[in-house]
This record gives sequence, structure tokens and C-alpha cells, in this order.
Amino acid sequence: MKSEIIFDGDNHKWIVLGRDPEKSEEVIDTNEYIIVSDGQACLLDPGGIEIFPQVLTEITRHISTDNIACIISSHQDPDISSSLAMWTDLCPNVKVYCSWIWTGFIAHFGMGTKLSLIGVPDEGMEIPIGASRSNIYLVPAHYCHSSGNFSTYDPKSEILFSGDIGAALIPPDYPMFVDDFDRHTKLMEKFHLRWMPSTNALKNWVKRVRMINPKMICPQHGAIFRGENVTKLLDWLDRLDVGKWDMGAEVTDLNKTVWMKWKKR
Amino acid sequence: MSLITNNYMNEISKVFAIGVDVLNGTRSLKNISLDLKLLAINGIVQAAKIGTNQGQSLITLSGFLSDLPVQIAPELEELEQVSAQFARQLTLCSIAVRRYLNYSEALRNLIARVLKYSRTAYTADDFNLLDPKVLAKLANHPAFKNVTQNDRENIIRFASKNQKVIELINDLLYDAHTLMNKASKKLDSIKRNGFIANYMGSNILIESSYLSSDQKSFSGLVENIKNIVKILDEQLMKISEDLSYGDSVITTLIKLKSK
Repeated sequence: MKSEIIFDGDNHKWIVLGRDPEKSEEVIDTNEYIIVSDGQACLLDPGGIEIFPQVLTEITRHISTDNIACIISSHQDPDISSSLAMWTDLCPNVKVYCSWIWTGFIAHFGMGTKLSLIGVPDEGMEIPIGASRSNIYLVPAHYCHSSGNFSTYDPKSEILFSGDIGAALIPPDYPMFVDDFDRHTKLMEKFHLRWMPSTNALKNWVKRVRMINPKMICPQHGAIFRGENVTKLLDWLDRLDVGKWDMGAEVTDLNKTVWMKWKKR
Repeated sequence: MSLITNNYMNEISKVFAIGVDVLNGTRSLKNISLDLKLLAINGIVQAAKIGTNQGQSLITLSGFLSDLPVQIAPELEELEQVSAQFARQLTLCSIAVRRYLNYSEALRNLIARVLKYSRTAYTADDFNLLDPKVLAKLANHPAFKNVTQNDRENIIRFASKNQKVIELINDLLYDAHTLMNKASKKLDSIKRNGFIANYMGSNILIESSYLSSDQKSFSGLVENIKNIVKILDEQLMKISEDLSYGDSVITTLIKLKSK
């Protein structure tokens, strides 16, 4: 697994982990982020159980695990939250945040550990990290894609962690930052059309993020947007019409045949 | 994953499968016992139709046989409960092992990275991460003399976590072992009833062989009784073998961690 410092200034760091060559092909590639502020760390979407050992080992390059103070789970998917019990078991004092609607569901990943989560209200909240109490903000991103979903904004670095928004299905050796936006949209399009259920929710999120005006947008899959690519991403998202499942006449007819066959059984 | 950890995981998977087999086997005994009771009752009815002294002795023998399932019912119930606890214990163990594998892999990766940058001949394979004693002293090992403060803290924390999980697994394995012994004792008691059922079946067969040819329909029933007793014997033997195999695997696992 690789890790790269994407922001470093004033005792405040952002580190991205990803592009794990050891993970099995069946497991979707994910980016994990760590914010380290005045020696205290916050993990953003720490990854699934399958990559837990790699993530944990890579984190040790940068911090002592004693310093992990909080974990934020943008939503409930297994590639984010199935490792939470391992983290809370290793760091018993860590505070884990996720949407209030998912706390009871994620607790099923307990694996013998009681998984106590802090339910984030729908409107979001601020979370202090580090001795200087730098605040990070949980920005509502409901229905983008999960019905209880948050992005994380850090005003100190002006970075927004967007979860699955801006995510792309990329080949293993893909660069960490988007270099050719138009080429990159090909890798994002299918993902968004299928995983994002609501155009309205997506447009509202874009509106909120334009007001925040981050310098970097970091998704959980794919590559990071910075500079002019941030605006390009927001414009692209604003134009997307998602939440459709238009299979076309041919597939519909085929489906009819299949359904009829099942009905006859 | 190191060879020793891989081996450990395979053995745990085996013992987990044994737990499920024992539970299923125990549950199937209940059905066999019910079949035996129904056949014995049928035997009483058939024997009553004969109406001779031979018929009377067959009624008595079939009566004994039909009582057996009733007698072993509480024991079967207890065996099922013990087997269910045993299977549950092994499931908890299997979950704990899954956690251990993740933590131990992280520790092993960390050790490998740290050793790569320090001038030492040690490798990650030189440390038995299944041994709580090794884990307890890991950070003080000469191989880690020159590591950074950050790496030292992480080694201490990971080793401590591995130690706790491996101790938990051992506790669970010891408990599973105790339950396994309990199940074996229950099974021995049920086996004795199995021998009695077999004996009764043989006596019914002998007694029915004296019946005249027009009463030979009884022999089909006796054959069924003999078959069901045979199935009961085989099932008891299978559970007994499973428990014995499980016992040897658990004993090996408990020893393996301290090798």
C-alpha cells in the first residue's frame, strides 16, 4: 500500500493511503485519509476488513496508533466500515462518527467487540481534533450515494473528503491526482450513474460545496481533484442526470422473458 | 502470512467444521431415536396380532425397545445442548482467530518494515507471533534496539493486542475442550443404550424366527428395527470419531501457540 502526504503545514497534515498492490482483485480499490493535527489523528473512511492489516501497517509510517483520536465513516458501506471493530478494539478510546441512521447497522460488524458509534445528526456537526482544537466539519451528503452520508471539510487545509462523490473505477497504477479531467470522467461516469440515486441530492451537494469552495476534493475511490479540476468536477456533477435505470427496449424484452420463465416455475 | 499462522488458521477451520458436524450429528440422533420408537410401537402392534406365547414375548421385547428412546431422550437433549455450546464456542473462536490474523499480519508487516531498515540478520519469520511469551517481550528484543520511538510504540501496542487476542483464543479453546469432553461422556452413556437397542433387536430377530410362515410379515419389521439400530450405532460412532478428532486438533492448537 502506498501513502502520500497531500497537505503539510502548521502542524497539520493530510495523508492519503491507497493503490494497494497486495489486495486481491475482487476487492475494490479504496483511498483512506488521515488528518494529523498537533499529533492527534483522525481517520476518514478507514477501509474494509480485507485491507485492515495493510492500512494499519502503512499508518505506522506516519503516526503512533496511540494518537488516533477519531474515525469518521462517511456512510455504511463494507469497504468503509467493516474494519471499524478492529480499529476500536486496537484503540479503545477512539471516537467513531457515522450517520445516526447507520449506527445500529454498522454495529453488526462488531466481530465480538461492542461497537459504540456516535450518530451524526442529519444537519452535520463539527469535530475538534488536535491540541489546538482544529475543527473539521461533517457536511451533509445524503443520497450521494447513501441515504445517510457525510462529506468532511477541513478549513485549515481547505480539503474536502467527498466519500463516493467524484469516485472513479481506476486501473491499479493510476496516478493519485487527476491530470486529464476529460479522460478521467470516463472512469467516473458509470460509477455515478449507477451508484448515485438522486440528481436533486447531488445538485444540492454541489451547491453546498461551491459555497465551501475547497482547494482539493478527495474521493474514497479513484484520484484527487485539485486546482481547476475542483471546479470542473463540480460542473460535471451539476450536469449529471443520475438515479435512472434505463435498460433499453432490448434488455426490457429479455427481462420479460426471464420473468415469465420464473413465473411459470 | 507466516507458515505457522497459516497452519494455525487451517487447524482452527478444521475444528470449526468439526463443531458443526457434531451438532448436526447430535440433531440427527433425535430423528433416529424417534424412528426407533415408531418401529418398536409397530412391533408391539404386530406382535399383539400373533396372539400366542411367542407373540407375548415379542410384545415384551418390543416394549423394552420402545422405552429406550424415551430413556435416552433427556441425554440426547443434553448432548444437543452441549454440542450447541461447543459449536458456539468454536464460532467465537473462529471470529477471534479472524481478528488475530488481521492484527498479526499488521504486526508482521510492521516488523518486516522495521527490520528492513535496521542492520540486523533477523527476519519477521524469526518471531513466533502465536506465543504470548514472545509477544510480551517483543519490543525489548535486540532486533528492535535501534527503532524509532514511533515504531517502538506501535510494536508494543500491536504485540499487546496480539497477545490479548491469542490469550482469548486459548481460553475459548480450553472451554471448547471442556465442552468436548462433556459431550464425549454424554455420548458414551447414549452408546450404552445403543448396545441395549442392538441387543433387543437381535432378540426380537431370534424370537421372530420361530414364527410360522404365515406370520413372517413380522420379519420385515424386525429388519427395519435392526437397520435403524445399525444407523444409530453408525451415527454414534461418527460423532465419537468427530469428537476424538476435534480433541486431537484442539490439543495440537493449544500446544502450537507455545512452540
